[in-house]
Formats: sequence, structure tokens, C-alpha cells
Amino acid sequence: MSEFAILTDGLMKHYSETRAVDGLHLHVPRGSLYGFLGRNGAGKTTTIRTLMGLLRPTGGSARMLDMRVPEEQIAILQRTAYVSEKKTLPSSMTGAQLVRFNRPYYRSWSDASAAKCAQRLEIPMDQQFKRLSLGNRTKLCLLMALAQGAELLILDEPTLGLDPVIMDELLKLLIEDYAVEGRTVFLSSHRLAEVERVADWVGIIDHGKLLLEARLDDIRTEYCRINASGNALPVNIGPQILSAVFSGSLCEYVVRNDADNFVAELRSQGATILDVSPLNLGEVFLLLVRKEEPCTSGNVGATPAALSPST
Amino acid sequence: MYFWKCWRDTRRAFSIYLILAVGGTLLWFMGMSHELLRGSVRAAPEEALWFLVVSGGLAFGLPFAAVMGLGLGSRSVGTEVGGEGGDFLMTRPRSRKYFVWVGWTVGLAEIAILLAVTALVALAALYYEGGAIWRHMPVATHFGPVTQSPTGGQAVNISLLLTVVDIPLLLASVAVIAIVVHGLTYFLSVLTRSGRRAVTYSLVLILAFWTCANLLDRWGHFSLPNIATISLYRTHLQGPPIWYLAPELQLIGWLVLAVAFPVAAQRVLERSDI
Repeated sequence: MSEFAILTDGLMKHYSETRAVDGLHLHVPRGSLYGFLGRNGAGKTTTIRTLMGLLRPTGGSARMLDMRVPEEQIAILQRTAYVSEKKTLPSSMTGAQLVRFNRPYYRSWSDASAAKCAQRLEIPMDQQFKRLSLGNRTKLCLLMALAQGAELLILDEPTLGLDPVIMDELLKLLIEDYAVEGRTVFLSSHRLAEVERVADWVGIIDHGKLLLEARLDDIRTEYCRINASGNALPVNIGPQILSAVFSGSLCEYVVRNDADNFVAELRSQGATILDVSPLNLGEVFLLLVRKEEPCTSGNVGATPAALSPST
Repeated sequence: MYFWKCWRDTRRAFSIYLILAVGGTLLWFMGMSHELLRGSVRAAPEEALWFLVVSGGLAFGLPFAAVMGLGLGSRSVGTEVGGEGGDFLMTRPRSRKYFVWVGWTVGLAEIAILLAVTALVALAALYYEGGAIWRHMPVATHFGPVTQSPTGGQAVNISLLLTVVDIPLLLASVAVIAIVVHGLTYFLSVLTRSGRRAVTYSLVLILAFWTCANLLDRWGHFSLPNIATISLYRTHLQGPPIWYLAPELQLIGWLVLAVAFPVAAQRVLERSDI
């Protein structure tokens, strides 16, 4: 059994001239809660839809739970739950009818889990889907996925339209019901704070390419902000320096790896180190996907070529 | 469970068709038989009742079968994919082939039930009016070209119509037209992912075919295979066209075409992105 729940090798999905997914190499470890981040149009949803067999890949290959996509799609779907970005279900059915419809498809379906989810997320199960609010629609979609008892749960923007209380409940459910039981959650989201709260692995995609894939703890320790002052601070920047923003005699560096060595080097050049602090996920995300040219506003080297994925 | 969902999605249309078919049949037989048996026309009782079967089949049975096929064929997995719920449905652990064929089978079963119930109601009405008249079904005997229009004088009309129309073929063609139109509309609804567009395109194709068939028949002296007139083939043809097959074989050909539509729908769905 592979150690990865999802493994893609140069996965591609092109639409004539548009390269929605362009040679994606994903490694989603089994049992992880993986946050899949990217801007609008970065290729997150296309990647997920390709993995779920809704889109046919243009090139490359993908495996989910050791099975080939899309050749073994039915077996994959038997063990994978999915909440799409659209959050739509057959509109004329009530929640209870949808549960009844969905149940026979899955051997691992749990009515107890569905009931627990309905109670905790406060879902009106007797109303037709089309009459539900956006938030309740989202919750019902999540219930369908969670009650499936799948080994792999794929959620595309799952918290869209949820209020903070319900969002909190959902994240607790994910952690308690899934992460604890060793199942894998692949979560695409714009909300960096919520991903940072629950995820243990993170992948950042932009223009269909993976910019970064790393353990969240490693990101926190690898990426540092160094504030230094001095008269001759180095401008000649090495590959580990991702950003350098000058303001008079002050400079804010963002460093990946070897922060200690860089601090020692700055000190040896007479600089005073004011502060060394780790970056949070949001800062790393912005650093990687920001469009500005190097050195103009602190985005030196933040290109896919300069950043080899750290695993 | 998809069977259940398909039934759920089409049961309203099915109920409407059932009411129309049963109600229309009863009204036709009760109202018209009164006119023919006791009214001013006063045809021979058995002949009058068979006339009702034939004229009802030609005037209402064939168009109603087409309408039923259009309506029930316009709901398919394609419309789900084009509307809400497509992502949900296509990520259930079943093949796309499964969804196509289950949807088509449910439509076919509904058509079969509608036709069977309508036939039973018609038989009951016939029995009520004239006893077991099906023991003496008129046989089409007027071989060769028909020079007098069946819509001529009323007295000639009844007997002439019964000599040119093959009644079992007429009843079979009502069923086949429903199945073929259902298949065509079903395929188009998968192709276009819209029930409304499927009905529109089906109507355009049917009308185009019907117009071409009439024009070729009238001006080109060439008959296209036409289910609507298949019951007249033995007697109504000006001369056998080059493709001529026995009407029974033609019906089988139409049925093969009807089954080819879901096969094509399956191919389309399997090769497309959702």
C-alpha cells in the first residue's frame, strides 16, 4: 500500500490554449489533512474535478488510494467522498430523501454519522434542497460526504457560505471524525486561517503548477522574516533569500532555509538584527503567488523555478 | 436507487400522460360510438367500432405517442449534468453507462405502462359497446394503389379505411413511434444537456423528416421509411421503393434505431467532461 492517498505525476488538463492544470506533481500522504491553496483560477477545482473523474486529464497520470484515475474510477468513488465547489444536489429532494438515495451506494455509509452531522450542523432535513439557504445547502452537501465514511474526503471550498459558528463545528467534525480516525482529508480553500488551523500538509498551486508542497510545521520553521538595520546591508541576494524590502537603513528579508547562517552573515557585515520571526501560512502564500517583479515590493525569487518543493 | 430518482423526476409527466391517455380514450370511444351507433351515421356496429380504433389510432394515437416520447425522453442524466446535481450524481460509484441506461429504461417502462393501460381501457370500452369484437378483426384487403382518399365521403370512408389499414401494424406503430421519439429525445437531451433544447431539436428533426417524406412521396415518387404510415404500406404504396422491406421488418429496424439512441448517448456521456 502506497503511503500516499493521492499521487499525481505531471497531471495536465488543458482547454485549447488554457493550461488549467499544467504538469502537477501532488503527494498527499495517507492520514493527512491536506490544505490545497491557490488563487481564483489557479487550477484547484480543475485538479479536483479531474481526480474525481468529472474531467478527463489531457496528460500525466494520477492515482488515488493506489488506484488509477480514471481507469478505476468506480472503485475510487466507492472509497472517496466529495463535496463540489458548486454545492448542488438534486434540487427537489429533501435532506432525508437524499440520505435515502445516497445510502445504498456505499457499504461504509453511516446513518448514525448522518444524524450526528445533521444535529451538530443544524440542518433542516425535511426541506427540499432548492428551498435551503446557501449555508444549509453547503451543510447538507457536507453531511452527504461525511456520512459516507470514506477513506478519502475531498472538499472543494467547503466552508463557503457558512457562518463562523457552523464553520467552527465543521472543522471540529473534520478533525474529530476524520483526522483522528486516520482518514485523509484533501481540502481546497481560500481561507488560509482555517486551513492553517486544521491542516498538517499544504500544497500551493498557481497557474496550474504546484509552487510548494510541505508539512505545515516545516513551513513555519523554514520560512523566516529577518528585520535588520545597517549601512551596508547586502543587496546581492542568494537563492535562499526570497524577499528583501529596503526602507532607509532598515531591511526586511524573507528567508527560506538557513536563516541562522544568513543572520550570522549579516552580523559579520556589521548589521544589527532587530527581529527574527517565522512566517505564517498567509504570508508564505502571498509571497509565493504575488505577481510583482523581484525586489520592487519584496518578492524576490518567489517563482516556481526558484522554489523546489520541500517534502 | 437511481431507478427511484428517475421515477420521481418523471412521475408528474407520467401521471399527466396517463390521465390524458385514459380520459381521451374513454371520451373517444364513448362519445364517438354513440354518434356512430345511434346517431346520424348509423354504421354497422362492428365496423363502426373498428373504425373508431383505426381513426383514433391514426388521428390521436400516433401524435400522442410522439408527444409522450418527447416528454418522457426530455428527462435524462444529461439534463442532470446540465443543471443542478450533475457533480453529485456523476461522483456516485456507478459508471456513466449505468446512469444512461437506467434513465432510458425507466422512460421505456413508463411508455409501456401508458400504452398497456390505454389499450386495456380501449378494450374495455370496445367490449362495453360491442362485446368481444376483436374476435373478428378486419383484415386489410385493398392491395395496390389507393385512388380514393380515405377522407372522402363518410359512407365510403369507414369501409375503405378498414380495407387499407393493417390494424395490428397500426397498433404496433403507435408503440414504436413512442419508443423511437423517446430514444431520439433522450439522446438529444444527453447531447445538449437540456430537456428544452432536446424537445426543440427533436421536433425540428421529426418535422423535417415528415416534410421530406411527404415531398419525396408526392414529387419524387419515392417513399422514405415512415412509422406513421407503416400500417398503410401493404395497400397504399404506389410501387415498391428500392429499400422496400416488409412492414414488420421496418418496425424492427425502427426498434434497432431506438436502441441505438441510448448507445449513442452513452458514448457521448463517456467521452465528455462534466
